Amino acid sequence: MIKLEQITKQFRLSNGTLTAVDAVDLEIREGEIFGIIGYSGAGKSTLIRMLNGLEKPTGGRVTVNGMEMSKVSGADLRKARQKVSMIFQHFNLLWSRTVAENIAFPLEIAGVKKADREPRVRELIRLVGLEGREDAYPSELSGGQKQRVGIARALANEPDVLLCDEATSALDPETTDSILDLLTDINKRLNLTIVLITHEMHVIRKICHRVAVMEAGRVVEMGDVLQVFRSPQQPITKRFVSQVTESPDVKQAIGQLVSENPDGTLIRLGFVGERTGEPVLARLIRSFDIDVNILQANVSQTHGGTFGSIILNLMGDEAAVAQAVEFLHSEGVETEVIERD
Amino acid sequence: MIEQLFPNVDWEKMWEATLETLYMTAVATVFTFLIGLVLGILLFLTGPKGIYQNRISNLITAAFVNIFRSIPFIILIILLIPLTKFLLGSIRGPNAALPALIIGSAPFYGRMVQIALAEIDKGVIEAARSMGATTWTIIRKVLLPESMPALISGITVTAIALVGYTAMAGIIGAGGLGNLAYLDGFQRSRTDVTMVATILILIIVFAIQWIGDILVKRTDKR
Repeated sequence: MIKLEQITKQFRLSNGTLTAVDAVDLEIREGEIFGIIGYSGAGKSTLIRMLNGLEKPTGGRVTVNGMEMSKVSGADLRKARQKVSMIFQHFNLLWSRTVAENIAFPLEIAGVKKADREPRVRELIRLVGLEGREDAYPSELSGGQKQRVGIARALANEPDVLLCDEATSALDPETTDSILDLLTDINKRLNLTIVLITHEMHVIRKICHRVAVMEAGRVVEMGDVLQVFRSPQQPITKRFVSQVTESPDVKQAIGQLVSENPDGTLIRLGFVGERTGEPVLARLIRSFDIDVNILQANVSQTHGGTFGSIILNLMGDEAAVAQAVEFLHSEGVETEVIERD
Repeated sequence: MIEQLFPNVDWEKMWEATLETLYMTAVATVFTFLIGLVLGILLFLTGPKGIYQNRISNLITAAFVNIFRSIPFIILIILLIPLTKFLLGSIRGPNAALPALIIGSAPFYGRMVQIALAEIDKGVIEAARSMGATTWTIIRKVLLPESMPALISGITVTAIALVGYTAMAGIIGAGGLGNLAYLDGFQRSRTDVTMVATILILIIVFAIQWIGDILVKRTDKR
């Protein structure tokens, strides 16, 4: 559906060149929700803008639905953009137009006749749940409602791909969830391919099928969301995963427990899918002569399934602890010993 | 009562002069609006970070704007006498003032248009581009409507400046209230004529400001 081959984007600055995107290869499948996560300045914003030709790559090739976006220009590019629409962090609605007029705007651009625009706009307003607000101006709407208008506007010309540029970053958590639900719903109902960029792992966890992690212009890690959550490889990925699995309080509590219990062994267990339901812990405690202190436990829901993580402090003699860790390994539980500083 | 206060005022002449001032201001404002829009849009689109970055046309437009904005109006009128003669065949009457009025104020308004356009949220322009809009569509459906309140308050200020310019143009024989105040009021020492002409000019200025404020309020949905 979408294919990026060796995509590079450099910006010329007064004091040299900045490589915003550095030799990125990606393939995004039809109908999937693909997330790109990174901190600001990682190049994800530039990357997503190359999917609809708002930015041209310095090198490499971008193909969307068979159309080489990195090459086309003029009328062909404008035509192609109608099928690759975009929503934005700050919504970017025209304040001079009402909700209905904003949604009609892309239809006007596409040359749809007025008589045909009206029923289509009504249908879109119903789809995003804004009935009754047709004649309101954006200044009279809440952030979540504005993004709904943005989504309706993006869907007006029946696109194949929806690009989301930090679409929930300006919204509060509750509104974020309702917008993410709407995106999931649209993805399923219209079989729309969605590419989103974000710096919030929560967004990835909630709706994405696959994720790519970007750092300094490069994709450093990529895979199914569940897989990445269960065993993040890169330090930056671990940081992102800990956004949703660890709160700062717990980190502090662990630090305190480490200093209070100098002789324990801290381990982190990762459970995936059905494993979360199995009584491994009970068997661990029964089978070995050690004390087990649970410092933290949580279960998270991702699009692909459930995963959980537990942090334990094992106390007892060294051999018993080693055997216990060995037991966990043999049970197929992902076990990581947390190093002491 | 009125005749006692203003013994020298010929009300018929005064009315005629008022109409001439209104005529000059209205026609000049319309042309200033249109030419200023073209200049402002050109400056905006070809400027740095514009959609059609083009150093050369930006420099030419900016030079034109800066030169004609800098020439004092009274000098501009004199400089433009040959052009006015060529265009209208005469340098007397309200029409004769129009070339100088328009050329003097359009560059000024052009700068205001450029500033108004620069205030538009860049994200909105990007959104329109992402939908496949042409530059012409962006101008018509994004740039102009989204900057309309600023464009209107700009043309209000310009129209009021034009009222002042018409008074100056009056001195070289273009007619209007300025002409009347100068010839009948000042040169013949009839202070009451000058007073009445001044009051009428004030009323025109207040009316323009009032209309401008209403239009700004009506178009601003932010």
